[in-house]
Amino acid sequence: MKIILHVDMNSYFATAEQQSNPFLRGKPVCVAGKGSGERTICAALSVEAKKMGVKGIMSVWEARNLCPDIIVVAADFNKYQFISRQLFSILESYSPNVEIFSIDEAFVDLTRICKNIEEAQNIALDIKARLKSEVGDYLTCSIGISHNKLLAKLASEKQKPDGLTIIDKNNLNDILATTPIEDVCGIGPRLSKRLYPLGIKSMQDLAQTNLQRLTHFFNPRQAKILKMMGQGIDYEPVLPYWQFPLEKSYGHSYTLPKNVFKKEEAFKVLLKLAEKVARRLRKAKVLGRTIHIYIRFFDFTSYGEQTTLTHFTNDGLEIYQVGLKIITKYHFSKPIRAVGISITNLKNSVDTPALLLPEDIKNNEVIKASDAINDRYGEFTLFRASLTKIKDKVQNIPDGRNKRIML
Amino acid sequence: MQPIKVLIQFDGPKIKPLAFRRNDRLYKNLKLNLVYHFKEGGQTIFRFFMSDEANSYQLRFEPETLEWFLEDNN
Repeated sequence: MKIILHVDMNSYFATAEQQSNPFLRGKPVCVAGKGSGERTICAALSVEAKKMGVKGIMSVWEARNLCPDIIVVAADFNKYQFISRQLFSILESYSPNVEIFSIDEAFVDLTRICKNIEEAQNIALDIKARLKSEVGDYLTCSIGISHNKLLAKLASEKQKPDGLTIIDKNNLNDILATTPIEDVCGIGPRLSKRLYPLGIKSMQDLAQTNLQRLTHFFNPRQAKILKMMGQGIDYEPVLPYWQFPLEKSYGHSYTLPKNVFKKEEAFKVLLKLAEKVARRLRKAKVLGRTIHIYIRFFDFTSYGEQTTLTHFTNDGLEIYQVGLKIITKYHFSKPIRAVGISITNLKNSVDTPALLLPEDIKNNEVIKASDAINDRYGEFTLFRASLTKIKDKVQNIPDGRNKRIML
Repeated sequence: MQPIKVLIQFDGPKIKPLAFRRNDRLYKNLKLNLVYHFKEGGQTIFRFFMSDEANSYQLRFEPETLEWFLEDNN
């Protein structure tokens, strides 16, 4: 039987800020992407802020209304990524099979390392102690131990902060009976809403529901997976970051500081986003062909469209121009709140034939030179003149899905 | 970002700031809360988060030039 451990940092970004500044400890803290801007959402909250009822999806403005004493801190992603790497290195000292699930969560496969759950429990206590002694004394994590990833993750959610929960044959039935379906990783609010009318509210309800009945409301594959989830069964292996499949798309989006009525005002942001996407493509040595544009309006309705080019590209200007064509043909009647651009249909740039046209060769040389300068002196040291006013404004919150943070 | 002079302690490959001088004022009895490094272009930058009884300080060390800066002070 497998032994899987799931480590989840508690209130991660906020605790990291409280670690670096002791004057923030014990106070409601909100980490926001662009500092204290009113349209910024709370990317992370301290335990104290959560106790005041502030939630992660709230804007800073809403958070301030609810908790006037809240301290808004600008996010420092270099800090969080460094601490994550320290944590993942500690985990790797116990097992080579560490799956980075997000910037603050990881699974560790201890099957061949531990003979039983008790040994895994000792490792969990050791990880907690080392996190405090080697990384930061204010940092805490919740750890769940079980026989698969689904139950290990569920276990780590059971006790926060600084918890250690084991789910094994002794308590499995109790856990299944008392766990609401929305607490299960993979069953979000939308799926829960579809399950409630069927009388399915707990994992046990899901386990006891006839597969045929589930198949009536969900596709056969989804029904089977749901049934297994209800029973606490999960065969997914722990996938180390060095075995993780390559990215299928690259994209960035940005919420504008204020709603804009003229789409031209969103163009510069779009150019900056396209340049960022292109730079990531070139760093990853890939090219893309399908460009997708996404616009969100003030009333949270959205518009999206994609175009597939006849050739592959990793040139920011070209990606932007394609995006521009999509936007200009659409007539907006509503103010724009956010814009996004992404590229899919990727291939390795090494497979690309050599450029023949003189203007393409020249453009490629300019991009290479620009990349070399930005590699040496930092991102956006050299940039397009039209980006001068917004160079430092468009910064994104990493979504934590980069499973290769260690590379 | 203000250039400062820093007194540091060497501990094997690690360094720990003990005190720093800014505008002729000496800041000592500092506690190191967190240190991390990151890449700024091709250069590795170290950031030290220090505090005393009254304030917290964010120090920046650039190994290429051996220069220290006070980045933030709350």
